[in-house]
Amino acid sequence: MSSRNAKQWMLAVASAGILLASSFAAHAATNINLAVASNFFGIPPSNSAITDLINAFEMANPNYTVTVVDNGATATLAGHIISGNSLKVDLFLAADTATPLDLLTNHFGLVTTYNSSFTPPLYIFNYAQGILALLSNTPNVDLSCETGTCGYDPGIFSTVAIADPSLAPYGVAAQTVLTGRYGLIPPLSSNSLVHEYPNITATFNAVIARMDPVGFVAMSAICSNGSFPTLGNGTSALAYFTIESSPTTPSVLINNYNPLTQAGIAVRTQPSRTAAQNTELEAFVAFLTDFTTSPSPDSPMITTLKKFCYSAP
Amino acid sequence: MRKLLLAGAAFGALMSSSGAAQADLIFSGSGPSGFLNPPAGERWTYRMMGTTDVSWSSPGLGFGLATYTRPQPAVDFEITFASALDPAQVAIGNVAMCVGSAAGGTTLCGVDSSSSTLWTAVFNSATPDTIEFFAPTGTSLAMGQSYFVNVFLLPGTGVSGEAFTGAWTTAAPEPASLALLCAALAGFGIVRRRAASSPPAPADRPVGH
Repeated sequence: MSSRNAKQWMLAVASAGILLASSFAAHAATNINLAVASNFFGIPPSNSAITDLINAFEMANPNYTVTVVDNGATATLAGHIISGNSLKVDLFLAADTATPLDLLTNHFGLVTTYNSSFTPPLYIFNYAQGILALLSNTPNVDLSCETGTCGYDPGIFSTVAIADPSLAPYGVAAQTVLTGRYGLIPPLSSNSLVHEYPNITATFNAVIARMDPVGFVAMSAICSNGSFPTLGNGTSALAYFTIESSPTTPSVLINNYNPLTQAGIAVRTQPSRTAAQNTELEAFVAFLTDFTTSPSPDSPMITTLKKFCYSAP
Repeated sequence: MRKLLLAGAAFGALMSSSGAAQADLIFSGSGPSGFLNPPAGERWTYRMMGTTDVSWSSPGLGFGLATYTRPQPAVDFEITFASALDPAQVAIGNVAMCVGSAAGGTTLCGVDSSSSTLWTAVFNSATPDTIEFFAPTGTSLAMGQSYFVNVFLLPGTGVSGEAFTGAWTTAAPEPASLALLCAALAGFGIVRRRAASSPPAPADRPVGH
């Protein structure tokens, strides 16, 4: 073998090495873990807001992956974080603002800033605002105001399903509607007209299985680009907005429940996140809080919020 | 003779109890709403749809399901109003497959957790104020089961709150009742045969030389 040939061989091997190294780097993606409230987790893969967002984020950032390691009622997820965060959650997406605020004020050692470049550092961000809906999957139930009952009526429906108000913010909203607007006697856990379920997805499943003729669910579970209920997700539904106009003449404003503003907060992990993971976390939160919309083209976040019938917070 | 009378009495009692199992469970009412089986069973409601289209329903149009509260399973439901029914709504109900509500037409459906059973509607234009629904062969509506019945009166004719009468017809005798009936008939036959073959009683013998 001549010295020229040997040199060419060495160059080729070096090139291959560089290519392999860059290839490995491309595949060694950075990952962060999420805990997501039931309403935003939905029913993956086809009916899940967070799945759509993760897919869009990963497509725009091929070196990053995002994994949902926990989902359920907001208080349940917070309990898992407080009791040791064994699932190594980096970011907690709650169904309210109170729970992240509680972690920040009462468990400060468990949370961390998601963007240290700001002064003062930022801990909590709002990412969505949800809507409550009354849903039925029972024949001959018509919740519309035109031909049906115009929503819930304690004199007509034998039971109503709600998420447990002690665990789920959507359950709190339903509880406010039932006691404030319809006069049901609290505590609802012992009211024979009410069936409580561990989270909003379990509530939805109970209504679909006709265990209750009606139930208060997250609009995101039954709505697609403004249309509801979507095929297979119940037979009749009515939106309950935070404040709405009555169907009577003259109309009056009805206060149904406090806004379902949903917030997130970064969580400390053991071992600590790498610099790359912190960078990804910051990028993902920026992605979730990009509410660019008309007259500019909708951001991926706005597109997802509209698809699942949320609004920007 | 005494045995014959006893057997006859037993047969009569069985026939009468069998007849009770097939009886019509009659109801009637008027006004905006009430119960077919007072004080709290099987709610019914009149509802105005728009300005002229009146519905009579149990539990109520768009109100979901009622619970059948009688001990005897029903196989037939008949109701008569003071005014005519809407034949077009009967036709809709025959094909709406238990959707119910305003779009489901005149219909009666038994409903459980996973399926609905459409009862056959029989409407005769010669008696337009009456409709009868029959459960599919071999099925019935048992106590505790859910159902709904929606009836639309002819627009411009039907009056919300008008008086109505009707009846649930209960199922044919159950197998146990039929077995008892057969046993009674057999016993009746045996007693007759014995009576025919045994010598006449002394009191019945002819008196003579």
